[in-house]
Amino acid sequence: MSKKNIVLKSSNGIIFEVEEAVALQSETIPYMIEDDCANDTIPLANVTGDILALVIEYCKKHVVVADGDGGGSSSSSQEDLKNWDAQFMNDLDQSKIFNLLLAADFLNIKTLFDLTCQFVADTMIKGKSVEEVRRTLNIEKDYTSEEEAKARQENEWAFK
Amino acid sequence: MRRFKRKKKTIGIIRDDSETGDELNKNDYISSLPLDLIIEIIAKLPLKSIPELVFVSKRWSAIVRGKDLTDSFISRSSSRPSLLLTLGNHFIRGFHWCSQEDPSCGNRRTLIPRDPMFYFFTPVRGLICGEARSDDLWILDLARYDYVSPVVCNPSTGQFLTLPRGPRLRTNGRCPDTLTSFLGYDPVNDVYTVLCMTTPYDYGQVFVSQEHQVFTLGRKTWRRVRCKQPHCPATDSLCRDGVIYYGAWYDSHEERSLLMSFDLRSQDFGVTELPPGVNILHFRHTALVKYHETVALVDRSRTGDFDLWVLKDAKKHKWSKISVLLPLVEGNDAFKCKGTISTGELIFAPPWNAMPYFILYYDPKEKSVRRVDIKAIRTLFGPTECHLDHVEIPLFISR
Repeated sequence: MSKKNIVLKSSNGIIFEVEEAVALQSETIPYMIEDDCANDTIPLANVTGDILALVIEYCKKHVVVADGDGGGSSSSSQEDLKNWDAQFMNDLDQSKIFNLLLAADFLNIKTLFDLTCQFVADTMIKGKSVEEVRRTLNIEKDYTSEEEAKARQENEWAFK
Repeated sequence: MRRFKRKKKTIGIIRDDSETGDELNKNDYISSLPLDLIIEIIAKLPLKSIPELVFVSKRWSAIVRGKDLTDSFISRSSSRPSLLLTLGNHFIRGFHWCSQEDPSCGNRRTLIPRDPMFYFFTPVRGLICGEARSDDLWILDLARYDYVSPVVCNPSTGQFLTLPRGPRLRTNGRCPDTLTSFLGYDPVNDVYTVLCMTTPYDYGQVFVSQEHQVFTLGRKTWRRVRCKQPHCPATDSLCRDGVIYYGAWYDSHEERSLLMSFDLRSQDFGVTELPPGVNILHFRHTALVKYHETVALVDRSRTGDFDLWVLKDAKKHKWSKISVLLPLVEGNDAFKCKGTISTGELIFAPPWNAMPYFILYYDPKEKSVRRVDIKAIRTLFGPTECHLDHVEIPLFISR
């Protein structure tokens, strides 16, 4: 099989040339090819260069494993991939994480989308108090203390 | 792929599309995500940690209380519904649930306070309704109406909510001492409603009434509803497609029975006659169960002989009979039929005090039965009742 390359262009004009198999992990890109958005360059107006670089890094890592084992990855490589994913996410700051989430959603890359959502849930919300969640995510408290106390009082909790 | 239906495709990099946009902290990235992506993130959390998030902000409160988040759990959970057991003994009360197709999977539990004492009816779309009674008063005075409150509980999160007490219901100038509260869900308006009625027995007497009351969650008050047919409930309820069904008595002395229905949208009662010769003899010994996609009436049986009366047409009073002979597995316990599951098998539960707790799967094609022990239930936790088709939802309940 001949290996075909696809050229992607970020919103700020940075060009990335990737193997077709890497790009086709996105379910959005095939439509763009079909729609003949461009003969050789696919413009991604919603994804900046730094985020697109991360998406491609992720897709390259994941395409290798799927190919190498003919679709059925061994458990050790699955384990390696999980560790790689964890490290990949850990190295990012919040701004990158949320932009990556939007890019994964726009490009429709299910595994990356699930990975980012799970990472946000696990590291920024899970096991944290309401106050800690607000602080971690920089969410402004728009309840007055009285409103919050009243809302809490109305509800009984058996289990935490 | 578990993604709930997207309303719009995300476009643009991190941007500001919330109503309170002007005041947003510029580092508050999550709030600038489209709503459906925030829901995707919240749906990745363990269920018990979700309700508390209503206190994060007003927007988060609306998300956690909203239909979209609940629906994303319902669609995930409906493909693997659970068997829900209410647990209760002198030390502990709570809920245990596990896969109803394979009880060795998905075992989870929440505990609720031991006092007050709870009695629960049939769960509906992830929530369960019951009544709370103070233990002390229960002993002293058989739970006078004054001390009984309807409660709605989300077993998956452990949240429970006591409803305000409604106006007193009167029957022939007398007040019944206790009430029965059935929960229903109206899928069109996306509301849960509690139908509250007189309870049949007060020191052996049946109270029939034309006056009942409903409480729709979120609307804060009780409302009276009248039914031309005086009656009182004689079975637990079953809610299907926005209609609450229950067996009822309509005669104070001879305990003659009917199938009642209450349409949650129109708030109208319907009356269906039972098949000739069929009567409900003891309070809650007869049950309404789901038989495939329809409602069926079935009695307990000590002999293993069960007649399921399947409702064919409520308006035309048409029923069909299905007889099952359950090969007896454990002596002659009075087994209860709980209805069918997705495999087509009929589920039978032993009386509440069976230890270790088990359920029977009856295969109607092979006419064979298999017993499955619920290993997580040990002697300490006496399950008081077993229900099918429980789904896990993070819904935050409010009055």
